[in-house]
Amino acid sequence: MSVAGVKRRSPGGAASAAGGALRAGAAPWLGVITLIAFALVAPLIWSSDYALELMDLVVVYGVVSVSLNVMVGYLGYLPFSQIAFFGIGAYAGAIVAERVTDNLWVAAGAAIAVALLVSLVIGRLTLHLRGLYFAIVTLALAQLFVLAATNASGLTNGSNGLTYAGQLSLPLPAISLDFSQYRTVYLLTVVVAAVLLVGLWRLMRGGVGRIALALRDNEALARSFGVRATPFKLGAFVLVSVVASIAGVLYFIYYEFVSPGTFGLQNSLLLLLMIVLGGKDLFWAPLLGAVVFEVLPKVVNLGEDVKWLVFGAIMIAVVTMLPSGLGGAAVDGWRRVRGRLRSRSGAASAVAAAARASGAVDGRAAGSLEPGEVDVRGWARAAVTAPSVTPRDGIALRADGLAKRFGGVQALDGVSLELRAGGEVLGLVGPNGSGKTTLFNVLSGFVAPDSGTVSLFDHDVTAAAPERIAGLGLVRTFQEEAAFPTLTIAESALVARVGGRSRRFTQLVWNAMRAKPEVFPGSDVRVGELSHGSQRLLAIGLAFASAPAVVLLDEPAAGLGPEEAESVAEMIRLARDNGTSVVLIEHHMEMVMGVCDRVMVLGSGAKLAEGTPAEVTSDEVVVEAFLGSFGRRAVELSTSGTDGGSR
Amino acid sequence: MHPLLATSLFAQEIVNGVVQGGVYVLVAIGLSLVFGVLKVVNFAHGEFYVVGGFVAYLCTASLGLPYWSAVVLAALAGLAVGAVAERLAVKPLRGAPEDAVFLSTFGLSLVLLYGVKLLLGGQPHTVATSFTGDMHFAGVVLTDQQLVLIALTIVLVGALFVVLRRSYVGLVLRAVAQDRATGSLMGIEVERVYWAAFAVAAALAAVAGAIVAPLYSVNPYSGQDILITAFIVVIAAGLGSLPGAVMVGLGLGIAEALAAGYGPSGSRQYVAYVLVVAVLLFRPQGLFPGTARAVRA
Amino acid sequence: MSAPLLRVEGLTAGYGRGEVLRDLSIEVAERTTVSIIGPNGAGKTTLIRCVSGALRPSGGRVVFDGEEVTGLRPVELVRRGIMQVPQGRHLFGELTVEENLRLGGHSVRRRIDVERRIEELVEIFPIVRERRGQLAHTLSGGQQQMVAIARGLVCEPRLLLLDEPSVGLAPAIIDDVGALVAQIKAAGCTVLLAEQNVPLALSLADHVHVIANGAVAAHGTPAEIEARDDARRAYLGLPDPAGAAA
Repeated sequence: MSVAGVKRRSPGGAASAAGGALRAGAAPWLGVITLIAFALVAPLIWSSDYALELMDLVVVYGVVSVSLNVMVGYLGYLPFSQIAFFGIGAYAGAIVAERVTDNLWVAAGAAIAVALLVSLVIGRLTLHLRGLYFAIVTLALAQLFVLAATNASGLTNGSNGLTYAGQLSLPLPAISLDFSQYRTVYLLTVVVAAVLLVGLWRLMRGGVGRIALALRDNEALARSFGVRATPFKLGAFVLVSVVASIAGVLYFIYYEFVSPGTFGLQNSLLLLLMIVLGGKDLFWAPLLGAVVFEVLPKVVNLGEDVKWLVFGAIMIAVVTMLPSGLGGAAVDGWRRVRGRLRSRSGAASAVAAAARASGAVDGRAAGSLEPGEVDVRGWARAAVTAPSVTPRDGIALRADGLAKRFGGVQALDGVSLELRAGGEVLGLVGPNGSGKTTLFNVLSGFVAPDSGTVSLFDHDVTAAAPERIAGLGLVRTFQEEAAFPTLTIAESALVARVGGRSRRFTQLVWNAMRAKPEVFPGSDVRVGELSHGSQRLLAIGLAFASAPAVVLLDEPAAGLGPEEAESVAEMIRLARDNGTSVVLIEHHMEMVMGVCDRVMVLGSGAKLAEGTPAEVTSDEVVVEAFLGSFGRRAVELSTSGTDGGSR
Repeated sequence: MHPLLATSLFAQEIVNGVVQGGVYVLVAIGLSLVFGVLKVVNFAHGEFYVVGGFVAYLCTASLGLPYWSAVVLAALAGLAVGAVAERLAVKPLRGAPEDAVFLSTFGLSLVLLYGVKLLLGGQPHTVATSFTGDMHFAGVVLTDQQLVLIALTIVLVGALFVVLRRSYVGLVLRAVAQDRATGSLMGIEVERVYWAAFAVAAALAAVAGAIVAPLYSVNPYSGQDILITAFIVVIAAGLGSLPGAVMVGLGLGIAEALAAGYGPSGSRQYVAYVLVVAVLLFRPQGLFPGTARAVRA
Repeated sequence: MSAPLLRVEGLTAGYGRGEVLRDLSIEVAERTTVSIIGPNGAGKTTLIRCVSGALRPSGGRVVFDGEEVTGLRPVELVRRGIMQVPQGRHLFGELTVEENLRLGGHSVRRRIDVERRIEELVEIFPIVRERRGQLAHTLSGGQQQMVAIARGLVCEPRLLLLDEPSVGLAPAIIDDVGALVAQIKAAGCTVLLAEQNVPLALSLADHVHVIANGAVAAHGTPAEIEARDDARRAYLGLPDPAGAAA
C-alpha cells in the first residue's frame, strides 16, 4: 500500500483558476498605467471643451464605480444605492450652493453629512440581508430617491432639474480658484478624485481590504477569528457612500446643473457595467470600464437607443463569457506569459529549491515558489508555538446542560463539559449526527442554545457573538477545507490574529512579507492554490495564530492521508505543550488515542461516557455502540504499541 | 358628501385597486416562481410585460386581429421570448454566483427595452380592445376591459395554483424547487423544468402587459416601473411565496388606489416604498416567511 | 458464474482540483449486497455518486449490465435501473410522504405501475402507511430514512445504492434500518451499501470492500475482513506499519 504524498498542482491550473483572486495589491501596475495614460492623453485634447467634459465624466464616474467596486468586488454586495448617494451629493451641493451659500466648503460639507447620515441608516437596515435581497431593497430605495428628487420640486425644481446660477468659491490659504473656468474645475476634480482613489486604494491593499476579502471568502471563519463583521461592513458601506457623494459634488461643480434623470436605473447599470467589464477583482479596473463606456459612445455615435441596447448585450456577453472582465483577462494573460518566460529560463525553480535547502533564499526566489513547494508545516508550527499569554491555571471553558433542538431533532440534550487551561486536549467522538458539530457551534457562539450556559474564564459567553468569544481567547475551525482561498498565506495569518493578543507571530508574518522572506518562503502563495492537505494544515495553524487559550478543531484530519494526519497530530501536541487547550472532533481513532488527554463520547446529543482514552475504549457499552467490535480491536491494535515506532 | 356617494366612491377605488393589483400579481407571481425554482432573480422580468403589450399593439393596430387573439399571441410571444432569454442569459450561468444572473438579466432588460423602443418608437401607443362596454352598479363603474383583466387574472393564477398543487407536473416543479440534486436522482430532467418555469413566468407577465395595454398605453419604459413594484411585492411577501405574492400584490394595488383617492396628491407613488421600508423595519423575513428554498403554492 | 451486474474499473474522481478516488475497482454480482466501508473522507460517497451519475468521474469505467454507462446523467441511469438513496435522506421536506414516493417512480413509464408499486410498499413499510399524507420534514430521522429507502424502491431498481443509511440515527433505529435492508436483499434486490457503521455493513454484506484514501485497501467476505489486520487499519485510517517505518 502506498503512502499518500503531498499533492502538487500544476501551475497552469492554478493560474487559470486565479481569475477571482486579483486584488489592489496584486496588480497595482494596471492602475498606475491607466493613470499615466490618462495624464498623457489629457493635455493632447486639452484644447477642446467637449473633450474636457468627456474626461471630467470619466473621472467622476471612475470615482463612483471604483468605490462601488469596494462593495461589489471586495465584500460581495451589490448596492444599487451607490447612484443615489452620487445623486445625494450632487443635489445637496447644488441646493446648498443655490439657496444658502456659494462657499463650496459648506456645500461639500453638507453633502458629506447628508450622505453619512443616510448611509448609516440604510446600512443598519439592509446590510444583514442576504445577497439578492440586499440588491433589490437598495434598488427600491435608490428609485425612491429619484422619485423624491422629482417630486420635491420646491427644493429640487423637479424633473426640470436645478440650475446653479451663482459663482462658487473655495476659500483656500494660498490659491484662488476661478470656477468659471472649466479647466480649473477639471483640475480640481482630478486632484480630489486622485486623493480619494489613492486613499481608498491604500486602505484596500492593507488590512481593510484583507478583512473585506476574508469576510467575502468565509465570513464565519473570519468572525471566529475575531473579525467584527457587522461594524466593519457598515463602515465600508458608509465610506463608499460618502465617496460617491463627494463624486456627486464634483459632478455638480462642473455642470452646475442636476436633474433626477442622471441618477436613475440606467446609470446604475452603467456603473455595474464599468465594474463588470473592467473586472471586479481588480481595484483599478472599473476605471478602465469608465473610459470605455464614457468615451466609446462619443467616438462611435450610435444614438442613445442603440447605445443602451449594445451596452445590455455587452453586459450579457461579459457576465457569461468573461466573468473576470477585461482587467482580469489581461492579468491572467500576463501571468501566463510570465510563467512561460520563467519556465523557458530553465532550471530557475530547481535553483530556488537548492537555495532553500541551503537555507539561503533571496527575495526573488521566495516570491517564485509554486504552491506545491510551500512549507505549510513550517507555517503551522510557527503559529502553533507562538508564545501564549493566556492563563495557565483553572478551567478555561465550561459548559453546563447545553440543549438545542432543530425541528424534530434534539441535536444537544443536556451536554456539560470542562476544559482545563494551559494545555489539555479533549477528544469528542461519536457517530455522525450525534451533535458534535452543534456543540462546537454553541460553544463558539454561532448557535444559541435553548438552555444551558457556556463560560470562558468565568465570563458568561452563552449565546455571545463569535467575535466576542474570539476576543476572550476561543477560536475554532470548520469542517470545510478552504480558509480564505483568495488571500495569500501571509494575509490569512494577519486576518487570523485580528482578535488575538500575541504580537509575536504577527511580527513573524511581517518579516516574511517584507524584510525577511527567508523566514517563510511562499508567503505570497494564495491559499486556494494549495493542496487539500496543505490547506487543512494551514487552517489549523491559522486557528492558533492569535495565541488563543482554547481552540476547537472540527475534524482537522478528514480526507487526509496518514502522513498528513500525523502532521496534524503533531501540531496538536505542540500546541498543547505550548499551553493552548484543544477540543478535538475527529474520526481517526488513532489520532484521538494519540493526542487526547481525555475523551468524551457523544451519542444522540448526550454524553455517553467520559474519561481517559483507555477508560473510554474499555467501556463495553460505548465500544459496542460507537466503535463496534471491529473498531475495538483496532483500538487495541493502536494502543498496544504496534505503531509505537512512528512516534 | 352624501354617505351613499362616499360609499360608492370608496367602492370605486377598491375596484380600481383590484384591477391594478391584479396586474402586480401576474407580474410578481412569475418573478417569485422563477426565484423559487431556479433560485435566481430575473431583472428582465418587467420587459416581458412590455413585450406582451407590444405584441398586443402590433396584432391589433398593425395586423388588425381581434383583441382576444392578441392576448393569446402575447402569451405565446412571452413564452418564446422567455425561453430564448433563459438559454441566452440564465442557463450559461448555472452554478455561478447568484448575482451573475442578476447582472446578465439586467443586460437582457436593456436589450429588450431598447429593442422594443427601436421597433416601436419611444412614444406611448394605445391599444384598441373589443371589450368596450361598461357596467354600472350602485354608482361603481366597471369597464368590460377591467372585468376581463380581473377574470383573466383569477383564471391564470387559479390555473397556476391548481397545476402546482394538484398536478404531477406541479409536484415535479415543487420537488425541483426544494432540492434540485435529489430531483435529478429521481430521474427528473431538471434543466427542462427550469426552462419551462422561466418561460411560463414570462408568459404570465406578457399576458399582464397585453390585458393592461388598452387601459393605459404601451410604453417601452413601463417595464422598469412594474419590475420595481414587483420586486417590492415579492420582497414583502418573501421571495418564493406565491400566495404571499398574490395577497401583497392585491393589497398594494388597493392601497395605492386608496392613496390616490383619499391621500395627498402624488402619495400613490410612495405606497410601495413605504411598504418596503416597513417590511425592512418590522418583518425582515417577509410578510409570509417560511422555508425560502421551496416554492410555496 | 455470469458477469457481474455492476463493474467499476479504475475509477478516478474528485471535486474541483482534489482527487478523492484513485484507480478504484469493484464488482457487484446480481442479487448480492456489497458493502463499502472506510473512514470519513475515504471516498465512499464519491463512489456512490459516480455510479448514480450525480458525479462525472475523471477516469475509469462504470459498466452496468454489460453496458458502459460512465458519465451518463442520473436521468439515464435511473431509466436503466440504478437508484441512489442519498446520504442524509434528502426527502422533499415540504412534500408529503406519498408525494415523495410518487417522485421516486418518476422514471416509470406508466403512472398506474407507480400507484401499484406504492400500494405494495405500503404493505412492507408500516411507516409509509401511517404517515402517508404527512409532510416529510415532520418525520423523525429514522422514519425519514425508511421513507427515503421506500422512495428508492418505487421504480423497482435493479441496483439500489444506499449511502450511509445509518447517519445520524440512534443505535436502536439503526437496527431497524438494517433489518429493512436485509428484507430488501432477501427480496432479490442488488444493493451497494456505503456505510460508516462497520457492524451494520458487515452483517448485511455478501462481500465487503474497505476503501482508504480513494482506493480499495482490502476486500473479502465479512468474516475475512474482520479477521484481517490490514483491513482494520485501513478502516480506521491507521498508517500502514511498513509505510510508517519507511
